[in-house]
Amino acid sequence: MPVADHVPSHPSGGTRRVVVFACGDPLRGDDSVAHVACRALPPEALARADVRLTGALEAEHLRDLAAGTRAIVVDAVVGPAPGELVEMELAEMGRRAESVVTTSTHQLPLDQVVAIGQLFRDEPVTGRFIGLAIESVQLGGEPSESVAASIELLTGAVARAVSELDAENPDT
Amino acid sequence: MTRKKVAVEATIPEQRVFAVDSMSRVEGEGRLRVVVKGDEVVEAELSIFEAPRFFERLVVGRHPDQVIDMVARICGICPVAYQMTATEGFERLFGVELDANVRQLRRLFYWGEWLQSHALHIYLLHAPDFLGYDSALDMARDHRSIVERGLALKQVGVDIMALLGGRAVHPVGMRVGGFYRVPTRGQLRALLPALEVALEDSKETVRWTSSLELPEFERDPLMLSLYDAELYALDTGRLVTTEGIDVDPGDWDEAFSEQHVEHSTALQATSIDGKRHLLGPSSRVVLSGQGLHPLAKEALEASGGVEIIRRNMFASINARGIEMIHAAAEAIAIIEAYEPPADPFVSWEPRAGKASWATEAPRGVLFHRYDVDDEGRVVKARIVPPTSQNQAFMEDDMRGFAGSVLDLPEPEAAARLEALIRCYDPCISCATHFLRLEVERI
Repeated sequence: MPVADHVPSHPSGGTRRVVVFACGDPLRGDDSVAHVACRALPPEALARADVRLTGALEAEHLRDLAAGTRAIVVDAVVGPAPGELVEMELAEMGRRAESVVTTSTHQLPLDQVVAIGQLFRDEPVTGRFIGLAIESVQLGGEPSESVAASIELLTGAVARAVSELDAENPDT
Repeated sequence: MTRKKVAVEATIPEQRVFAVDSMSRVEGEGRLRVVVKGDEVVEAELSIFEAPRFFERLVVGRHPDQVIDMVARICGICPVAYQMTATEGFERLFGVELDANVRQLRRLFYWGEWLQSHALHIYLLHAPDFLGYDSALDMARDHRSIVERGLALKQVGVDIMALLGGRAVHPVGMRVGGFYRVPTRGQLRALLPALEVALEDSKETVRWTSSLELPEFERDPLMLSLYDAELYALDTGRLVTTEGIDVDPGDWDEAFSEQHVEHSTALQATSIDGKRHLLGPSSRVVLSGQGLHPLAKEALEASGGVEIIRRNMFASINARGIEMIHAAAEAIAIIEAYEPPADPFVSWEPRAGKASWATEAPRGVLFHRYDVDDEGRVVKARIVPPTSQNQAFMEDDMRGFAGSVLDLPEPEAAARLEALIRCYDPCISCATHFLRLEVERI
């Protein structure tokens, strides 16, 4: 299964019931981690999931998923030590949005995007957020050493999540 | 694309400093600081540490078609603006004559970006300020159908960008001389039903935004935009201001200049004689409104006319809605008249010289200049995003507006000031990645 280099605006509704959204900017150093990690997914994971590379998750991405689809959102995070893996259920991430106040003029925080995407569905999307803590997002830079060393971890975590979510999907 | 994580900083009582910090996972920092002495606002500074300047170095040594793919990466919201501005600069230097239908496709491409950018800003970023919500999420709970209308409008723009650009974010479909490939008539016509809905939704948007209560803040701004006697100016015409500047868009740097200011590493742009101008939807509607589609003109009149948009910055939300009507209406007209060109692009020969042009990005005039050698390689580049040009004017408005919120509780005052800044839709991806709002009373 090839990795889509963008999120189709009208998903084709393929047979795979797990969709992986890999978010970030490949030109900005550590912000590329999700793209790099998901491009390296093993064939068995790629056979069970649609992988879509995107700059950022949009509420519509979750809203438009077919019923029963499991979602995995992969992105860089700040806060924990660089290279540390962060995992949480999408439902938990949506609840975090309650405490987030944004001053952004341009983008909504990921927590709110997830919450809005869930709000507009008849049934919430089951799934997982998997992040890798990053160090530097220098434009044009390569992933920093500590983060690059952990990309394999991220790939492994995404592959595991694909397997688990696919297995627990009753429609599979 | 960047996404911001947010934390709220504690108050420091003795100085009455309050701040809202947003931490981002990208480099760079912007800070907004207002200093108040007694009842007087003595200082208003917007500090931006901006990333796009790196691009001016990154493109050196590159050929034009590489450049336009690179500059699309400057902004995840308005990549088409960066591509269009660079491409048209090169085409003018190389003497490229575009097929008429290709030129129309370029406008359609740009309207797609305007629709998605304006819908995002109106519905998810700006409207919560007017309705008293902390976030789009809170607003969506109470006004689901309104937010869904915004998402639908945004989606139409995204679909146009994806069709013509190959993908919506950081598109790759355009090249110097045209596009790598052009859509069939059927592919374009498939967009029509959604665009017809978008047109009606845009009209409804203006009816809704014009019913919102605007904070009282009136002034008499100098304004800058493109002007075209025949069209709603997007990538053609002249650069004009309310006080009489009238230059070719490629000669922006003969009428305007950028200066370093002490409090920011970003450059601020003013006219050569130091005057500060407002850019963006409000300025376009005022200066270029004669080119609006009749449906947009009708909505403008019904929503209170152009004067409120000129005088009150908060009415920029109406201006964006009116521009969405125009964008949807012109997009429909372009698609209905479309005849696929014989070739998606025309070939060109490089020549040495200055490739420069300005276009109207969703948030205002964007200027590019590339000095190229006789093989077309960039020797020197200059990119002046709209937020850099708006920055000095935003400081003036902050200074003018801050006095009206001084008696409010500090969090509310900070929120009002932030709401003012959102009126300009400053481009975080282009100009800042970290907004810190700070008010200091001395």
